[in-house]
Amino acid sequence: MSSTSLAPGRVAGSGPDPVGTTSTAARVVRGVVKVLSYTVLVLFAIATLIPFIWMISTAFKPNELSMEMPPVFIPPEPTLKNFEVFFKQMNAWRWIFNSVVTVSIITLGHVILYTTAGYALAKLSFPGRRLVFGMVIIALTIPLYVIVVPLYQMMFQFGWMNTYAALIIPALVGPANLFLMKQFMQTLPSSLIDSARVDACPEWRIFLRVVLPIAKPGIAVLAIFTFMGYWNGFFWPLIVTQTSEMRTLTVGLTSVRYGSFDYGSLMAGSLIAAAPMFLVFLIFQRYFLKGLTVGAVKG
Amino acid sequence: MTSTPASGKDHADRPPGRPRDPIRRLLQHRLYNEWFWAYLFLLPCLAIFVVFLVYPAMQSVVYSFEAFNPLQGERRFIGLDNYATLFRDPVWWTAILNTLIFTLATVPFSIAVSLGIATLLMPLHSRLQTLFKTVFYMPGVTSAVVIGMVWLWIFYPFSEGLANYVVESLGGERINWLGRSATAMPSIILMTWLTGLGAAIVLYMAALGNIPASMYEAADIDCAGSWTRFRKITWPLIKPTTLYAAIIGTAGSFLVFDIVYSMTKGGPGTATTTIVYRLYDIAFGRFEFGLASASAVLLAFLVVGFSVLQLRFFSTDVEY
Repeated sequence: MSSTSLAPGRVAGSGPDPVGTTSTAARVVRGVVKVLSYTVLVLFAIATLIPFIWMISTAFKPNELSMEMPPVFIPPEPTLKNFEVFFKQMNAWRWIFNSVVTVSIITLGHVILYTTAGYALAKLSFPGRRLVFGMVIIALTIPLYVIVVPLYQMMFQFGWMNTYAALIIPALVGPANLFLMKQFMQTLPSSLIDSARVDACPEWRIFLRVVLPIAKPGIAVLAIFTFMGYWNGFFWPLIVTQTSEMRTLTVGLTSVRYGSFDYGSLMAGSLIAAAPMFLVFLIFQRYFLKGLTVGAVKG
Repeated sequence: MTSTPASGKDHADRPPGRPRDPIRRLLQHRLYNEWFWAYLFLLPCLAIFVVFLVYPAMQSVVYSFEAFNPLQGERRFIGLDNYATLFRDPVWWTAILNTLIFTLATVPFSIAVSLGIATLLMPLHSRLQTLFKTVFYMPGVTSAVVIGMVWLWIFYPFSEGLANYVVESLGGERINWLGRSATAMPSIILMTWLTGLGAAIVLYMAALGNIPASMYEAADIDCAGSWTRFRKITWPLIKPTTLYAAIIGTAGSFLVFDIVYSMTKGGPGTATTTIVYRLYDIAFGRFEFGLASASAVLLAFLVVGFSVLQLRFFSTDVEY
């Protein structure tokens, strides 16, 4: 398990070159290769960053400059007018509120549901464990799109259409997160749990006092990825919300697009949608990069 | 359980480990206790799965055999008619073709280029590695809707768009990127190339970092060239990662929707209509739930089928 963790310090691909180090020709070739590879990397990084830089700069520049070519990346007179327009014209505050509330509840729900269930699958022995795990694997392969029509119909029958219940409750389904937590819980030392059992510690207290504290990194990965996934989520909120008041930020943004083509306020809105994720990513980068590799672990 | 006051007289000095009450005795038994908590921990999660995943999945199959339009209040069994309708529907075939083109254009590219970039990143100082990884993964944490919004400017049909600015400064004629059938899908593919590589790069770097240096040292002793080193050492050892990236990537490409919705709404005409976009259109544009469910069932088969194929293809000579 630990073998797949990121170890940026130890680089295997750049093994020593025992044969050609002394000859100048080889040194020139290696220099050229180095310059070339830096060029490729930097070019690709620029291509990745330009859309974001443009988004940020357009959000802060007067609309006359937004379609200027070559692009004005640093506006001479930064302005907050686009944000004013965005918040005035649309239900922007409501969309932000909706996104924050629903995504927070969904994330909390996922953490509670899948730390407990993942722990049970990984560390407790009970009849039917393999069966349950097999079902989870099958559930993993079912995409939302395949069940979306009956789910929509169900929301209708429950009278949940256009409510927070529809945005939150079906979103609690997350077989991928259960799988992730099960994989993670398996890496925790069983000896700790067993010694707590020997001390006649009840199971629920073992979970709260022994397992949860050492499972924090895994829970952090789970929470961050869940929050990001649903914050950026689009299809389900698009379908179950019908009025502007119930929209989440991403759905709200696309609904604006066809109303006006005022790039400034659109980019202000986009920046508001993207900025929390940038912040979370930059702060918790370690967890992000680790979380990406969890699913790829074999076994 | 230990602190619960026992009933009546035996609470002060009962023999150790032998409570009177048989049910409590059962619960206090370590094994039974473990079972009990395991089921309790799993129950809420399984209940949600059954109600909001398993049941709708079965309903999908049922709907697919029905003429079901909630707006017209119509619902009756029609056997395989929906499937027959889909097979006769040229747009459905276009959607499959578009999805396949998108998948074939993005997944192999993403694997090859992210492996290349990861290889270029490996010799760098770890600080630089982290910097580049952060940059490349930025689009990965951004909503497809936001990315689509920004790329609408890049693909702006007139000279004010970045893509046309680049084309025109290179002496070319400006292109109506998303507005013409011939260029709409290639534009979306180009955008995916430049925004969808972060995760695969991170994965490959982890995999490359795990290859023991001794392997390369042995290759050096044998004077193996870099291509041989790659063919004989790197590629076989990172195959599980490639398999994972291919399966995840294919599943994602097959289900592409957000970006199509926010950029082209499937158009112009049907040039960027993908399977999921078609499904969305049938279900929530025309409210033909039966037909939509039939396409959902076919979509499920396609996704699972492709994953199995790739598993076969890549796992022929992989040791797990």
